[in-house]
Amino acid sequence: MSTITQLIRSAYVRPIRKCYIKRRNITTGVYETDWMRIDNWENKDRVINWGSVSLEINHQPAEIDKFEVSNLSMVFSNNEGHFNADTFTNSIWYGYLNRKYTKLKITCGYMDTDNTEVGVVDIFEGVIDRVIVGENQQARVTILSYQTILKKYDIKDLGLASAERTIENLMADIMNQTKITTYIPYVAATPNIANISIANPSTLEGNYWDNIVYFATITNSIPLLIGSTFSFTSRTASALSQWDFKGYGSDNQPDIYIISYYDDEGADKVRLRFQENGGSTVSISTNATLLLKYLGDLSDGSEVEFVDMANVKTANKQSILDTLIAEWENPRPVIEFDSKMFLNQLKPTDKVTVEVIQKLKYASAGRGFTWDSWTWDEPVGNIPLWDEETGAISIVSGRTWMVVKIIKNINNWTSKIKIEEIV
Amino acid sequence: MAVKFFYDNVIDSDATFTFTSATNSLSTYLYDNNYDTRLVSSGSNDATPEVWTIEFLSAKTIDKILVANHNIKSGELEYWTGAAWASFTSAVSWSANSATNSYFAVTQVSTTKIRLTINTTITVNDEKRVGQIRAMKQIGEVETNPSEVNWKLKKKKRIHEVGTGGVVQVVFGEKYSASYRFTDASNADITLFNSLNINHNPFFIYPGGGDTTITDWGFRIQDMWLINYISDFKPNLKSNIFGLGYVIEITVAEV
Repeated sequence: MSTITQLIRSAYVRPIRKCYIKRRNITTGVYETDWMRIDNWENKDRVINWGSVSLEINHQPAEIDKFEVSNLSMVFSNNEGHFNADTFTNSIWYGYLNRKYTKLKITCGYMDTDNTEVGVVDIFEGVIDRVIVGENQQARVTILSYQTILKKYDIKDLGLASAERTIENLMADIMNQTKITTYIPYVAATPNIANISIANPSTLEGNYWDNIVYFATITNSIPLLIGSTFSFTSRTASALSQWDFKGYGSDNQPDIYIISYYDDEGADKVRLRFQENGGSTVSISTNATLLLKYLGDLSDGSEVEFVDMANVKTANKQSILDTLIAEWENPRPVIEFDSKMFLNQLKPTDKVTVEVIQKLKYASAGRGFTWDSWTWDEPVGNIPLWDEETGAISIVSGRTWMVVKIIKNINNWTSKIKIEEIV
Repeated sequence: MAVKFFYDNVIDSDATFTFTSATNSLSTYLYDNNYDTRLVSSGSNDATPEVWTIEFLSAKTIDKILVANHNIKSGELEYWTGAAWASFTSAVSWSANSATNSYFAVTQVSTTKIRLTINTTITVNDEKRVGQIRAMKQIGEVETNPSEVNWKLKKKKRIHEVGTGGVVQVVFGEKYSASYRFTDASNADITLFNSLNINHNPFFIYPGGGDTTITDWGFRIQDMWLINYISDFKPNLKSNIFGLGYVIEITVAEV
């Protein structure tokens, strides 16, 4: 049996794609115990389009510690009316509650040459938002990620008291409720900066997700939601490289289809000054070179990032801003490329390496170098030797990068991956 | 041989499966229309018969049986009369068998369950393996075979070009499609095609008709596909003259 790495790297790929739902009891609203497979019905495939899903952190310059998981749109064959409303006797919801808020998940993997399923994992889980059926005998199904559930509840419904409370405790208050664990199993938060406190939690406003992002910002953390697995943790890249990407020139069967974007300086997200919004606490870079490069004395505020710290304990403010400066003062080159389907092998915050060697040109006489008594890389007679690189992109494998965005195109079986250099 | 058509397999997810040692949750392998996924016994040998009983939700009519991608050397498939297990007529049985695909035409029965007993395997003491059991009722067979058949296994695929110009081929599936041109179709043939056209359900096509002597690809004993009739129903009088028969082309595609 092949490993999942071998199958992803293979030049001949047989994907496994399955789609399941859990309906709700018509009287209690409780979800079914078992998942019901719906992409194949009585041996007939009926998914016309599987759609794609994206996971992204820090997606805009100056946006710190944001995470977004996209919704999903799928198209099913509806010849038999199975996707019609629950009032229709042929509907697979007949005898159950309505379609909206039905759980739906997609599992994917690879088929080995001996027809063994390898690496099958849930790559998306959410709830159905709407189903549109058409005369073309198709049903277009929109599925919301569980992030949407967290956006539908107001923080006020927790009835938080005015007593000081840590981010760890507040995250438990939100995530360890039955109405949330019904969708997202509870995992305790482990923020990058521990024990940051909110002075008066009763003043918090907005929905659960807004506050989770706020908690992430002031603890320099990141909220991640992969399928139904939630984590609130350090935004530091993983210790080990999760994938060593081979590009042009580094392998005869590269992982990278095409590099669509390469910002080889990565100045967009540089921030040299973090400042309390409406307050006086400030942290400024002390790196003279960076201050010179990015005009740290600009008076229009373009290099300043304001942080809402109204609810943060005064004693915590300076250390938060200092941590943010250390994180964001350096430029980070960014690459975006199309590649293979990585299932859940890669997620935002994973460390990866990339090796791309573009064209090499022939050495000419006199371009060798001498080491002891040997002259290396000199052409011998008419036999040319490869010499220096040419071309726009050359990346050595010693540099490390962090995944900040991944689009999983389940329909085409590709990934679009955006990575930032770890500096 | 003549091209035959059958209703869908009566073995489906509504049935109840009982196996001596094979994994019950993998019972779908017996009817998933995929010969490659095989139901396998566990810890079996030639001294231990493996018995697989399939009980239907209601009585089913059966007159054709295909057992595909199996390793049965000796054994038998029987049906329940309502009081006892009985052999089909002719018997669906194997003795000193070496073929891995088997087709049987039997006298029609109505039954609530069938039972496959596998005694020995082609390779001695191997696990018992079966890729597919199809118990079906025939819709009909043509009186005159097609004069031309164009068929293919069409890949649903994506080709991704990598940086070196090489390609990665992603194959989501491979399905049968074909066009059959009948230039001497009889009235009975046209009636059959019309019944297929208005069947409103997928059905099996058996291009080789179960003739074990045919070894041509697309017409072998195992070449049977669950299809939809996707072309328009358009029988034309041959040479525009009454009484000579019909010319008709039907296009089919696997579900």
